Amino acid sequence: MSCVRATDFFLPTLKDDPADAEAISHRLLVRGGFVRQVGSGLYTYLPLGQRVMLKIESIIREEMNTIGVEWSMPVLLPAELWKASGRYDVETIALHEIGHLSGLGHSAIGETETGATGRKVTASGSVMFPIAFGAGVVTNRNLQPDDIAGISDLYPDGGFAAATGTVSGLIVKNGQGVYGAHVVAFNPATGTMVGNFTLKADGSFTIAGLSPGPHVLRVEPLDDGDVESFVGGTPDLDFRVTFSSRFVVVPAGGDSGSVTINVVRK
Amino acid sequence: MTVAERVTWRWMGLAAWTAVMCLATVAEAQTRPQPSSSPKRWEFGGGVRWTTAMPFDTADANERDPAGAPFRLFAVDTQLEHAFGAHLYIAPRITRSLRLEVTGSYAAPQLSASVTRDVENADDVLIKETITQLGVDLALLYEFRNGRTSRANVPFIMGGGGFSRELHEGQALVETGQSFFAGVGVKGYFMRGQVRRSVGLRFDARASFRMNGLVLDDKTHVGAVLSAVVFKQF
Repeated sequence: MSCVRATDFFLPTLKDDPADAEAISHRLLVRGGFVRQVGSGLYTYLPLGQRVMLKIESIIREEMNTIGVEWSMPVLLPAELWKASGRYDVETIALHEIGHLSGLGHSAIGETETGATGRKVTASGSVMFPIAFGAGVVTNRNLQPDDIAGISDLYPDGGFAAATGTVSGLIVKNGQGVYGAHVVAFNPATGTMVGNFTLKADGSFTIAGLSPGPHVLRVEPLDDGDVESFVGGTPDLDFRVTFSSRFVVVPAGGDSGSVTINVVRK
Repeated sequence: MTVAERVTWRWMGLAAWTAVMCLATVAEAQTRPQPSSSPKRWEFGGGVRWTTAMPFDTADANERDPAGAPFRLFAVDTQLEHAFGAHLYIAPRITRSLRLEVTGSYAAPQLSASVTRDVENADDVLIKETITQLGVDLALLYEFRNGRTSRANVPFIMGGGGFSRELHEGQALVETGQSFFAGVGVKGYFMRGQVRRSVGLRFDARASFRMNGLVLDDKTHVGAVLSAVVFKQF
Protein backbone atom coordinates (compact mmCIF):
# COMPACT_ATOMS: atom_id res chain seq x y z
CA MET A 1 0.00 0.00 0.00
CA SER A 2 1.49 3.25 -1.05
CA CYS A 3 1.06 6.39 1.02
CA VAL A 4 1.44 9.97 -0.09
CA ARG A 5 1.82 12.87 2.26
CA ALA A 6 -0.92 15.42 2.08
CA THR A 7 1.68 18.09 1.58
CA ASP A 8 2.93 16.24 -1.51
CA PHE A 9 -0.52 15.36 -2.87
CA PHE A 10 -1.80 17.48 -5.71
CA LEU A 11 -5.11 18.71 -4.29
CA PRO A 12 -6.11 22.12 -5.68
CA THR A 13 -9.19 23.09 -3.65
CA LEU A 14 -11.26 26.24 -4.05
CA LYS A 15 -12.73 28.48 -1.38
CA ASP A 16 -15.63 29.71 -3.47
CA ASP A 17 -18.21 28.04 -5.64
CA PRO A 18 -17.60 28.18 -9.38
CA ALA A 19 -19.73 30.96 -10.82
CA ASP A 20 -21.57 28.73 -13.29
CA ALA A 21 -22.12 25.76 -10.98
CA GLU A 22 -25.73 25.28 -9.90
CA ALA A 23 -25.85 21.62 -8.84
CA ILE A 24 -24.52 20.83 -5.38
CA SER A 25 -22.51 17.85 -6.70
CA HIS A 26 -20.87 20.08 -9.26
CA ARG A 27 -19.92 22.73 -6.72
CA LEU A 28 -18.54 20.32 -4.13
CA LEU A 29 -16.54 18.22 -6.58
CA VAL A 30 -14.83 21.31 -7.98
CA ARG A 31 -14.24 22.94 -4.60
CA GLY A 32 -12.98 19.68 -3.11
CA GLY A 33 -10.40 19.22 -5.82
CA PHE A 34 -11.90 16.09 -7.36
CA VAL A 35 -12.44 17.49 -10.84
CA ARG A 36 -11.52 20.59 -12.75
CA GLN A 37 -13.51 21.97 -15.67
CA VAL A 38 -11.55 22.43 -18.87
CA GLY A 39 -14.44 23.47 -21.12
CA SER A 40 -18.19 23.43 -21.48
CA GLY A 41 -19.25 19.97 -20.29
CA LEU A 42 -15.60 18.77 -20.17
CA TYR A 43 -13.91 17.78 -16.91
CA THR A 44 -10.53 16.44 -15.92
CA TYR A 45 -10.32 13.93 -13.06
CA LEU A 46 -7.74 15.31 -10.67
CA PRO A 47 -5.71 12.81 -8.59
CA LEU A 48 -8.32 12.66 -5.83
CA GLY A 49 -11.16 12.09 -8.30
CA GLN A 50 -9.11 9.50 -10.12
CA ARG A 51 -8.44 7.61 -6.85
CA VAL A 52 -12.16 7.56 -6.09
CA MET A 53 -12.91 6.21 -9.55
CA LEU A 54 -10.31 3.47 -9.18
CA LYS A 55 -11.67 2.50 -5.78
CA ILE A 56 -15.19 2.22 -7.20
CA GLU A 57 -13.83 0.07 -10.01
CA SER A 58 -12.06 -2.19 -7.55
CA ILE A 59 -15.20 -2.60 -5.46
CA ILE A 60 -17.16 -3.60 -8.54
CA ARG A 61 -14.33 -5.97 -9.54
CA GLU A 62 -14.42 -7.70 -6.17
CA GLU A 63 -18.18 -8.12 -6.37
CA MET A 64 -18.00 -9.52 -9.88
CA ASN A 65 -15.28 -11.96 -8.84
CA THR A 66 -17.45 -13.07 -5.91
CA ILE A 67 -20.35 -13.75 -8.23
CA GLY A 68 -18.00 -15.77 -10.39
CA VAL A 69 -19.93 -15.39 -13.62
CA GLU A 70 -18.87 -12.78 -16.12
CA TRP A 71 -18.87 -12.46 -19.82
CA SER A 72 -18.12 -9.80 -22.35
CA MET A 73 -20.56 -8.83 -25.05
CA PRO A 74 -19.95 -6.88 -28.25
CA VAL A 75 -20.77 -3.22 -28.33
CA LEU A 76 -23.40 -3.75 -31.02
CA LEU A 77 -26.26 -6.11 -30.21
CA PRO A 78 -29.50 -7.02 -31.97
CA ALA A 79 -32.35 -4.81 -30.78
CA GLU A 80 -34.49 -7.86 -30.01
CA LEU A 81 -32.40 -8.63 -26.92
CA TRP A 82 -32.99 -5.14 -25.50
CA LYS A 83 -36.67 -5.22 -26.39
CA ALA A 84 -37.13 -8.62 -24.74
CA SER A 85 -35.75 -7.26 -21.48
CA GLY A 86 -37.71 -3.99 -21.73
CA ARG A 87 -34.62 -1.80 -21.99
CA TYR A 88 -34.69 -0.74 -25.59
CA ASP A 89 -34.96 3.03 -25.33
CA VAL A 90 -31.61 4.60 -25.90
CA GLU A 91 -33.33 7.35 -27.83
CA THR A 92 -35.15 8.81 -24.84
CA ILE A 93 -32.04 9.00 -22.71
CA ALA A 94 -29.94 10.25 -25.61
CA LEU A 95 -32.48 12.98 -26.33
CA HIS A 96 -32.35 14.12 -22.72
CA GLU A 97 -28.56 14.16 -22.68
CA ILE A 98 -28.38 15.98 -25.99
CA GLY A 99 -30.57 18.58 -24.34
CA HIS A 100 -27.94 19.03 -21.64
CA LEU A 101 -25.22 19.07 -24.28
CA SER A 102 -27.12 21.89 -25.96
CA GLY A 103 -27.29 23.87 -22.75
CA LEU A 104 -30.65 22.97 -21.24
CA GLY A 105 -31.05 22.35 -17.56
CA HIS A 106 -33.63 20.11 -15.96
CA SER A 107 -37.32 20.83 -16.14
CA ALA A 108 -39.65 20.22 -13.21
CA ILE A 109 -42.74 19.60 -15.34
CA GLY A 110 -43.42 16.07 -14.22
CA GLU A 111 -44.79 14.11 -11.29
CA THR A 112 -43.23 11.41 -9.14
CA GLU A 113 -44.41 9.22 -6.34
CA THR A 114 -42.54 7.18 -3.79
CA GLY A 115 -43.57 3.58 -3.28
CA ALA A 116 -42.15 0.38 -1.91
CA THR A 117 -39.81 0.07 -4.86
CA GLY A 118 -38.58 3.63 -4.60
CA ARG A 119 -39.34 6.76 -6.54
CA LYS A 120 -41.00 6.43 -9.91
CA VAL A 121 -42.32 8.86 -12.47
CA THR A 122 -46.09 8.99 -12.89
CA ALA A 123 -46.19 11.74 -15.50
CA SER A 124 -43.90 13.97 -17.48
CA GLY A 125 -44.35 17.12 -19.52
CA SER A 126 -40.80 17.56 -20.71
CA VAL A 127 -37.93 15.52 -22.14
CA MET A 128 -35.72 17.41 -19.71
CA PHE A 129 -37.55 16.09 -16.65
CA PRO A 130 -34.64 14.52 -14.72
CA ILE A 131 -36.20 11.18 -13.85
CA ALA A 132 -36.94 8.72 -16.64
CA PHE A 133 -40.04 6.60 -16.94
CA GLY A 134 -39.61 2.93 -16.22
CA ALA A 135 -37.53 0.74 -18.52
CA GLY A 136 -38.98 0.38 -21.98
CA VAL A 137 -41.35 3.32 -21.83
CA VAL A 138 -40.86 5.39 -24.95
CA THR A 139 -43.41 8.11 -24.23
CA ASN A 140 -40.79 10.77 -23.65
CA ARG A 141 -39.09 10.58 -27.02
CA ASN A 142 -40.85 13.62 -28.42
CA LEU A 143 -39.94 17.18 -27.57
CA GLN A 144 -42.56 18.97 -25.50
CA PRO A 145 -43.42 22.70 -25.54
CA ASP A 146 -41.21 23.23 -22.48
CA ASP A 147 -38.23 21.71 -24.31
CA ILE A 148 -38.95 23.62 -27.50
CA ALA A 149 -39.29 26.93 -25.67
CA GLY A 150 -36.03 26.33 -23.85
CA ILE A 151 -33.93 25.35 -26.85
CA SER A 152 -35.50 28.07 -28.99
CA ASP A 153 -34.61 30.63 -26.37
CA LEU A 154 -30.99 29.44 -26.42
CA TYR A 155 -30.75 29.25 -30.21
CA PRO A 156 -33.44 31.55 -31.60
CA ASP A 157 -34.11 31.79 -35.29
CA GLY A 158 -34.86 35.11 -36.90
CA GLY A 159 -38.52 35.27 -36.05
CA PHE A 160 -38.48 33.72 -32.59
CA ALA A 161 -38.12 36.89 -30.57
CA ALA A 162 -40.87 38.65 -32.49
CA ALA A 163 -43.27 35.70 -32.44
CA THR A 164 -43.03 34.82 -28.77
CA GLY A 165 -43.03 36.66 -25.49
CA THR A 166 -41.94 36.30 -21.91
CA VAL A 167 -43.48 36.37 -18.46
CA SER A 168 -41.47 37.80 -15.62
CA GLY A 169 -42.27 38.46 -12.02
CA LEU A 170 -41.73 37.73 -8.37
CA ILE A 171 -42.80 34.95 -6.05
CA VAL A 172 -43.23 36.34 -2.57
CA LYS A 173 -43.97 34.81 0.84
CA ASN A 174 -44.51 37.06 3.84
CA GLY A 175 -42.95 39.92 1.94
CA GLN A 176 -39.77 37.98 1.13
CA GLY A 177 -38.74 36.50 -2.18
CA VAL A 178 -39.04 32.73 -2.54
CA TYR A 179 -35.95 30.95 -3.83
CA GLY A 180 -36.34 27.74 -5.82
CA ALA A 181 -40.05 27.97 -6.60
CA HIS A 182 -41.20 26.22 -9.76
CA VAL A 183 -43.38 28.46 -11.95
CA VAL A 184 -45.38 27.06 -14.85
CA ALA A 185 -47.10 29.20 -17.49
CA PHE A 186 -50.10 27.46 -19.04
CA ASN A 187 -51.73 28.75 -22.22
CA PRO A 188 -55.38 27.58 -22.33
CA ALA A 189 -55.60 28.33 -26.04
CA THR A 190 -52.77 25.98 -27.00
CA GLY A 191 -52.69 23.65 -24.00
CA THR A 192 -48.95 24.18 -23.63
CA MET A 193 -46.94 24.43 -20.43
CA VAL A 194 -43.54 26.06 -20.07
CA GLY A 195 -41.76 26.35 -16.75
CA ASN A 196 -38.82 27.87 -14.95
CA PHE A 197 -37.54 28.49 -11.43
CA THR A 198 -36.93 31.43 -9.18
CA LEU A 199 -33.15 31.37 -9.11
CA LYS A 200 -32.50 34.49 -7.07
CA ALA A 201 -33.12 35.34 -3.46
CA ASP A 202 -35.58 38.06 -4.44
CA GLY A 203 -37.90 35.41 -5.92
CA SER A 204 -37.66 36.72 -9.46
CA PHE A 205 -38.31 34.52 -12.46
CA THR A 206 -38.56 34.76 -16.23
CA ILE A 207 -40.24 32.30 -18.58
CA ALA A 208 -39.33 32.79 -22.23
CA GLY A 209 -40.56 31.35 -25.51
CA LEU A 210 -44.27 31.66 -24.75
CA SER A 211 -46.92 31.91 -27.42
CA PRO A 212 -48.77 35.25 -27.23
CA GLY A 213 -52.04 35.24 -25.32
CA PRO A 214 -53.46 34.94 -21.82
CA HIS A 215 -51.71 32.48 -19.51
CA VAL A 216 -52.44 30.89 -16.16
CA LEU A 217 -49.44 30.81 -13.81
CA ARG A 218 -49.03 28.02 -11.28
CA VAL A 219 -46.38 28.15 -8.55
CA GLU A 220 -45.32 25.05 -6.66
CA PRO A 221 -42.48 24.05 -4.38
CA LEU A 222 -39.97 21.57 -5.77
CA ASP A 223 -40.42 17.93 -4.94
CA ASP A 224 -38.20 17.48 -1.91
CA GLY A 225 -36.84 14.21 -3.30
CA ASP A 226 -35.40 15.86 -6.40
CA VAL A 227 -34.25 19.28 -5.28
CA GLU A 228 -30.65 18.84 -6.34
CA SER A 229 -31.74 17.98 -9.86
CA PHE A 230 -33.08 21.49 -10.37
CA VAL A 231 -31.40 24.16 -8.29
CA GLY A 232 -28.45 24.54 -5.99
CA GLY A 233 -28.54 26.00 -2.53
CA THR A 234 -31.53 25.56 -0.29
CA PRO A 235 -34.81 26.18 -2.05
CA ASP A 236 -37.90 27.11 -0.07
CA LEU A 237 -40.21 24.10 -0.04
CA ASP A 238 -42.65 25.35 2.57
CA PHE A 239 -45.45 26.94 0.62
CA ARG A 240 -48.70 25.85 -0.95
CA VAL A 241 -49.37 25.44 -4.65
CA THR A 242 -50.76 28.78 -5.79
CA PHE A 243 -52.26 30.14 -8.99
CA SER A 244 -52.07 33.67 -10.33
CA SER A 245 -55.15 35.68 -9.39
CA ARG A 246 -55.43 37.22 -12.87
CA PHE A 247 -54.70 36.12 -16.40
CA VAL A 248 -51.16 37.05 -17.38
CA VAL A 249 -51.13 38.32 -20.94
CA VAL A 250 -48.02 37.57 -22.98
CA PRO A 251 -47.48 40.00 -25.86
CA ALA A 252 -45.76 39.04 -29.07
CA GLY A 253 -42.13 40.13 -28.92
CA GLY A 254 -42.38 41.55 -25.42
CA ASP A 255 -42.77 40.92 -21.74
CA SER A 256 -45.92 40.65 -19.69
CA GLY A 257 -44.71 43.19 -17.18
CA SER A 258 -43.80 42.14 -13.70
CA VAL A 259 -46.26 39.76 -12.08
CA THR A 260 -46.22 39.25 -8.32
CA ILE A 261 -47.68 36.07 -6.85
CA ASN A 262 -48.00 35.79 -3.10
CA VAL A 263 -47.74 32.30 -1.66
CA VAL A 264 -48.50 31.12 1.86
CA ARG A 265 -46.94 28.48 4.09
CA LYS A 266 -48.32 24.97 3.97
CA MET B 1 -145.17 80.08 -43.62
CA THR B 2 -146.98 76.85 -43.81
CA VAL B 3 -146.14 73.81 -41.80
CA ALA B 4 -144.84 72.10 -44.92
CA GLU B 5 -142.55 75.01 -45.68
CA ARG B 6 -141.21 74.95 -42.11
CA VAL B 7 -140.37 71.25 -42.38
CA THR B 8 -138.63 71.84 -45.71
CA TRP B 9 -136.49 74.66 -44.27
CA ARG B 10 -135.56 72.50 -41.30
CA TRP B 11 -134.44 69.70 -43.56
CA MET B 12 -132.48 72.12 -45.70
CA GLY B 13 -130.82 73.57 -42.60
CA LEU B 14 -129.91 70.11 -41.33
CA ALA B 15 -128.49 69.24 -44.75
CA ALA B 16 -126.47 72.44 -44.86
CA TRP B 17 -125.09 71.89 -41.36
CA THR B 18 -124.19 68.30 -42.27
CA ALA B 19 -122.50 69.48 -45.44
CA VAL B 20 -120.52 72.14 -43.58
CA MET B 21 -119.42 69.68 -40.97
CA CYS B 22 -118.38 67.16 -43.61
CA LEU B 23 -116.44 69.77 -45.53
CA ALA B 24 -114.79 70.91 -42.31
CA THR B 25 -113.65 67.33 -41.58
CA VAL B 26 -112.14 67.01 -45.03
CA ALA B 27 -110.41 70.34 -44.63
CA GLU B 28 -108.95 69.33 -41.29
CA ALA B 29 -107.73 66.05 -42.74
CA GLN B 30 -106.06 67.90 -45.57
CA THR B 31 -104.06 70.00 -43.10
CA ARG B 32 -102.51 66.94 -41.41
CA PRO B 33 -99.09 65.80 -42.69
CA GLN B 34 -99.49 63.02 -45.17
CA PRO B 35 -97.42 59.88 -44.63
CA SER B 36 -94.79 59.63 -47.28
CA SER B 37 -95.15 56.92 -49.82
CA SER B 38 -91.69 55.49 -48.99
CA PRO B 39 -89.53 55.38 -45.79
CA LYS B 40 -86.93 58.03 -45.17
CA ARG B 41 -83.49 57.66 -46.62
CA TRP B 42 -81.26 57.82 -43.57
CA GLU B 43 -81.56 56.17 -40.22
CA PHE B 44 -79.28 56.78 -37.27
CA GLY B 45 -79.45 54.95 -34.01
CA GLY B 46 -77.69 54.17 -30.77
CA GLY B 47 -78.35 51.91 -27.84
CA VAL B 48 -77.24 49.05 -25.69
CA ARG B 49 -76.67 45.40 -26.41
CA TRP B 50 -76.26 42.33 -24.30
CA THR B 51 -74.11 39.43 -25.42
CA THR B 52 -74.43 35.98 -23.92
CA ALA B 53 -71.47 34.18 -22.39
CA MET B 54 -69.30 32.16 -24.73
CA PRO B 55 -67.64 29.06 -23.28
CA PHE B 56 -64.48 27.82 -24.96
CA ASP B 57 -63.45 24.22 -25.40
CA THR B 58 -59.97 24.67 -24.01
CA ALA B 59 -57.61 21.94 -22.91
CA ASP B 60 -56.65 21.05 -19.38
CA ALA B 61 -53.05 21.43 -18.29
CA ASN B 62 -51.92 17.93 -19.14
CA GLU B 63 -48.70 16.06 -18.76
CA ARG B 64 -48.39 12.50 -20.08
CA ASP B 65 -48.41 9.26 -18.18
CA PRO B 66 -46.11 6.34 -19.11
CA ALA B 67 -48.65 5.09 -21.65
CA GLY B 68 -48.73 8.48 -23.34
CA ALA B 69 -52.23 9.28 -22.11
CA PRO B 70 -53.03 12.73 -20.69
CA PHE B 71 -52.25 13.19 -17.02
CA ARG B 72 -54.10 16.21 -15.74
CA LEU B 73 -52.10 18.67 -13.67
CA PHE B 74 -55.14 20.91 -13.28
CA ALA B 75 -58.37 21.57 -15.14
CA VAL B 76 -59.25 24.87 -16.78
CA ASP B 77 -62.69 25.95 -18.02
CA THR B 78 -62.55 29.24 -19.89
CA GLN B 79 -65.28 31.47 -21.18
CA LEU B 80 -65.97 35.00 -22.29
CA GLU B 81 -68.52 36.24 -19.78
CA HIS B 82 -71.82 37.82 -20.80
CA ALA B 83 -71.59 41.57 -21.09
CA PHE B 84 -73.46 44.77 -21.82
CA GLY B 85 -72.13 47.08 -24.49
CA ALA B 86 -73.07 50.12 -26.52
CA HIS B 87 -73.34 50.65 -30.22
CA LEU B 88 -74.13 53.29 -32.84
CA TYR B 89 -75.23 52.73 -36.40
CA ILE B 90 -76.08 54.47 -39.61
CA ALA B 91 -78.36 52.79 -42.11
CA PRO B 92 -78.99 54.30 -45.54
CA ARG B 93 -81.99 52.99 -47.45
CA ILE B 94 -81.16 51.00 -50.57
CA THR B 95 -84.64 50.08 -51.69
CA ARG B 96 -88.04 50.66 -50.17
CA SER B 97 -87.62 47.71 -47.80
CA LEU B 98 -83.88 47.21 -47.67
CA ARG B 99 -81.29 49.09 -45.65
CA LEU B 100 -77.53 48.77 -45.42
CA GLU B 101 -76.43 49.12 -41.84
CA VAL B 102 -72.96 50.01 -40.57
CA THR B 103 -72.51 49.60 -36.83
CA GLY B 104 -69.73 50.49 -34.43
CA SER B 105 -69.83 48.80 -31.04
CA TYR B 106 -68.04 48.77 -27.71
CA ALA B 107 -68.11 46.25 -24.88
CA ALA B 108 -65.85 45.20 -22.01
CA PRO B 109 -66.53 41.55 -21.19
CA GLN B 110 -64.38 39.53 -18.87
CA LEU B 111 -62.39 36.49 -19.93
CA SER B 112 -62.53 34.03 -17.07
CA ALA B 113 -60.94 30.71 -16.27
CA SER B 114 -62.09 28.39 -13.55
CA VAL B 115 -59.05 26.44 -12.36
CA THR B 116 -60.00 23.27 -10.52
CA ARG B 117 -58.93 19.70 -9.74
CA ASP B 118 -55.28 20.45 -9.13
CA VAL B 119 -53.21 17.31 -8.75
CA GLU B 120 -51.69 18.66 -5.55
CA ASN B 121 -55.03 19.85 -4.17
CA ALA B 122 -54.45 23.56 -4.63
CA ASP B 123 -57.46 25.73 -3.91
CA ASP B 124 -59.82 26.22 -6.82
CA VAL B 125 -59.59 29.71 -8.23
CA LEU B 126 -61.50 31.85 -10.73
CA ILE B 127 -59.15 34.12 -12.60
CA LYS B 128 -60.28 36.92 -14.88
CA GLU B 129 -59.17 39.55 -17.31
CA THR B 130 -61.11 42.46 -18.74
CA ILE B 131 -61.23 42.59 -22.52
CA THR B 132 -61.96 45.77 -24.45
CA GLN B 133 -63.94 44.91 -27.58
CA LEU B 134 -64.34 47.35 -30.45
CA GLY B 135 -66.36 46.11 -33.39
CA VAL B 136 -67.50 47.17 -36.83
CA ASP B 137 -70.41 45.31 -38.43
CA LEU B 138 -71.93 45.53 -41.88
CA ALA B 139 -75.45 44.20 -42.28
CA LEU B 140 -78.39 44.11 -44.66
CA LEU B 141 -81.75 44.72 -43.04
CA TYR B 142 -85.04 43.85 -44.74
CA GLU B 143 -88.19 45.50 -43.39
CA PHE B 144 -91.59 43.84 -43.82
CA ARG B 145 -93.69 46.89 -44.68
CA ASN B 146 -96.52 44.99 -46.31
CA GLY B 147 -97.58 48.02 -48.31
CA ARG B 148 -98.34 50.11 -45.27
CA THR B 149 -96.02 52.92 -44.38
CA SER B 150 -98.03 54.33 -41.52
CA ARG B 151 -98.23 51.48 -39.06
CA ALA B 152 -96.34 51.75 -35.79
CA ASN B 153 -94.43 48.48 -35.77
CA VAL B 154 -92.26 47.22 -38.59
CA PRO B 155 -90.67 43.79 -38.24
CA PHE B 156 -87.41 43.06 -40.00
CA ILE B 157 -84.78 40.43 -40.56
CA MET B 158 -81.09 41.09 -40.80
CA GLY B 159 -77.82 39.40 -41.60
CA GLY B 160 -74.20 40.39 -41.95
CA GLY B 161 -70.70 40.14 -40.64
CA GLY B 162 -68.01 42.14 -38.98
CA PHE B 163 -64.62 42.47 -37.43
CA SER B 164 -63.73 43.03 -33.84
CA ARG B 165 -60.54 44.29 -32.24
CA GLU B 166 -60.00 42.93 -28.78
CA LEU B 167 -57.50 44.47 -26.42
CA HIS B 168 -56.27 42.46 -23.48
CA GLU B 169 -55.86 44.05 -20.10
CA GLY B 170 -53.07 46.59 -20.08
CA GLN B 171 -53.31 46.69 -23.87
CA ALA B 172 -50.47 44.18 -23.99
CA LEU B 173 -51.98 42.29 -26.89
CA VAL B 174 -54.52 43.01 -29.61
CA GLU B 175 -56.45 40.30 -31.39
CA THR B 176 -58.70 40.52 -34.43
CA GLY B 177 -61.74 38.33 -34.84
CA GLN B 178 -64.54 37.87 -37.32
CA SER B 179 -68.18 37.17 -36.81
CA PHE B 180 -71.28 36.52 -38.90
CA PHE B 181 -74.77 36.99 -37.65
CA ALA B 182 -78.43 36.68 -38.55
CA GLY B 183 -81.37 37.94 -36.58
CA VAL B 184 -84.87 39.33 -36.34
CA GLY B 185 -86.28 42.46 -34.79
CA VAL B 186 -88.96 45.08 -34.81
CA LYS B 187 -88.95 48.85 -35.13
CA GLY B 188 -91.57 50.66 -33.12
CA TYR B 189 -92.24 54.18 -34.33
CA PHE B 190 -93.48 56.80 -31.93
CA MET B 191 -96.93 57.94 -33.03
CA ARG B 192 -98.68 61.30 -32.97
CA GLY B 193 -102.31 60.36 -33.21
CA GLN B 194 -102.56 58.19 -36.27
CA VAL B 195 -99.39 59.55 -37.76
CA ARG B 196 -96.04 57.91 -37.42
CA ARG B 197 -93.10 60.02 -36.34
CA SER B 198 -89.55 59.55 -37.60
CA VAL B 199 -88.29 58.52 -34.19
CA GLY B 200 -88.70 55.16 -32.55
CA LEU B 201 -87.34 52.23 -30.64
CA ARG B 202 -85.85 49.15 -32.15
CA PHE B 203 -85.31 45.75 -30.59
CA ASP B 204 -83.49 42.88 -32.22
CA ALA B 205 -82.09 39.49 -31.39
CA ARG B 206 -79.38 37.87 -33.40
CA ALA B 207 -77.37 34.69 -33.43
CA SER B 208 -73.69 35.49 -33.78
CA PHE B 209 -71.17 33.04 -35.19
CA ARG B 210 -67.78 34.04 -33.93
CA MET B 211 -64.34 32.86 -34.98
CA ASN B 212 -60.69 33.82 -34.45
CA GLY B 213 -59.70 36.73 -32.29
CA LEU B 214 -60.25 36.04 -28.65
CA VAL B 215 -61.48 32.54 -29.25
CA LEU B 216 -59.34 30.21 -27.17
CA ASP B 217 -59.89 27.24 -29.41
CA ASP B 218 -60.15 26.63 -33.12
CA LYS B 219 -63.91 26.37 -33.20
CA THR B 220 -66.72 28.62 -34.35
CA HIS B 221 -68.85 29.73 -31.41
CA VAL B 222 -72.50 30.68 -31.48
CA GLY B 223 -73.80 33.30 -29.11
CA ALA B 224 -76.90 35.46 -28.81
CA VAL B 225 -76.93 39.24 -28.96
CA LEU B 226 -79.93 41.26 -27.81
CA SER B 227 -80.06 44.98 -28.46
CA ALA B 228 -82.31 47.95 -27.79
CA VAL B 229 -81.89 51.12 -29.80
CA VAL B 230 -83.35 54.60 -30.18
CA PHE B 231 -83.37 55.60 -33.82
CA LYS B 232 -84.12 58.66 -35.87
CA GLN B 233 -84.86 58.79 -39.58
CA PHE B 234 -84.19 61.67 -41.91
